[in-house]
Amino acid sequence: MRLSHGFVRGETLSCIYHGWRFGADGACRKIPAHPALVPPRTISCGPLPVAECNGTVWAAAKRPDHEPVAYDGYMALRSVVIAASCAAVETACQGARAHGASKTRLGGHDTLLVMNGYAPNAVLVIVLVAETMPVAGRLAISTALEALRRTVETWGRAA
Amino acid sequence: MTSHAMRDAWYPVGLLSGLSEGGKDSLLLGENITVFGSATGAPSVECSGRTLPVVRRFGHLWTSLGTPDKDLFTIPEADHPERVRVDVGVVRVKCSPLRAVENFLDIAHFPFVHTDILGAESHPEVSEYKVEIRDEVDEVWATKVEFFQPQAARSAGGGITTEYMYRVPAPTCAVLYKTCPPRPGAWDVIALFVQPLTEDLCDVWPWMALFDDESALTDLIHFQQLIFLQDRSILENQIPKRLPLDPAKETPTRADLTSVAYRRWLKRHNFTYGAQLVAG
Ligand SMILES: [Fe+2]
Repeated sequence: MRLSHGFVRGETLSCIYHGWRFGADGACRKIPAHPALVPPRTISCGPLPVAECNGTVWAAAKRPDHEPVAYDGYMALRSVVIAASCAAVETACQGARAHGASKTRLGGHDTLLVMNGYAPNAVLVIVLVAETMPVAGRLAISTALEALRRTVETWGRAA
Repeated sequence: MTSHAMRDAWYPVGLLSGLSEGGKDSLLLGENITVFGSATGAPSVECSGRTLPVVRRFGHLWTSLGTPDKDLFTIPEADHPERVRVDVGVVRVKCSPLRAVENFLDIAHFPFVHTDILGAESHPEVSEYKVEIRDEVDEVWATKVEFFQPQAARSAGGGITTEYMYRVPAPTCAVLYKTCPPRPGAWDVIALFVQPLTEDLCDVWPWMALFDDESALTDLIHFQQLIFLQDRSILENQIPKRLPLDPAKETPTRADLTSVAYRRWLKRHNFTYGAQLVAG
């Protein structure tokens, strides 16, 4: 079970299945079924180095020698998981690459898409929009992102 | 893979009350089967022109692709005339059939997955219980399992400490006996009959035999479906998809002893359809 299905409880991440709690260092702090037990040090979920930028959490397998690229004036609007490959998503949005992000018009506005193809057929897409974007624009972008997801997934099924 | 020990076991393939005379296509261990109802009360199952053996029991039709060396297990407690026997129906789950059974044997997830129904986050402790593989019947048994439950059953008024017994009489079947709120001293029987469609797809047929003369049948079914749908969201997200039988793969605690015994028993019998033997 992925810990991303779980919940943040205090300073720990709680697994959705059996409630095991893990600290920021990855070590298991608590096994609720056995409250008196001090979890052995060998139980750890292997933490990754992380950084925050533009309202987005970045992770790396090993701590890189640079920080994530900051996109001035942009903020994260929302994320979506698309059941397709990274290449398929990039083809669909015909985005120009800009410092690791894909510059794309969505809902009539300029947006930046940052992507993580975490499985052969699953891409996490985070859409960054201008911090000054009014609510109506944000809604239009969000709707256009859903449409993009449907388009790419439909291609995938047709192929 | 066409020859493995699980071919000789019995599996549920439909509710006796829901069979169709025209036949219904299904799968069993990856092979195409057709399940036929019958107006004269003799349902049948066919697989590539071959007629398979059948048993009618617990409201379900059972069959086997091979030659079972023993009769389908019985649940004598369930025969009591005052019990309500509930055909819950079918839930299709994208998971290994063995994972579905193992999850059913696990109580430690109640507070987190069935929050405020079968468990409460304030009472997550699993106290020590007894697990054994009973060689004379060749079944896995867990007894003296106790757990605090906010609403143990549809018929339960408030929170109670429930006592459980678990029994695995067949590779994809598990029977749970639990304290019966309206009748202290008796056990409610809740069973999970799993039809393995493929190694990572199954049809789950929950079935119950309860002492409950107050709840409407629909409410009993809804209660069980609610619980099982909560389990489905967990089951479809488990990694790895197949049940690891290699003891080094996961970190069991004392609460997981039933699951440890179940895996050991599966391995001993080469019941490996839906299992992974090599780390991966
Ligand atoms: Fe459950």
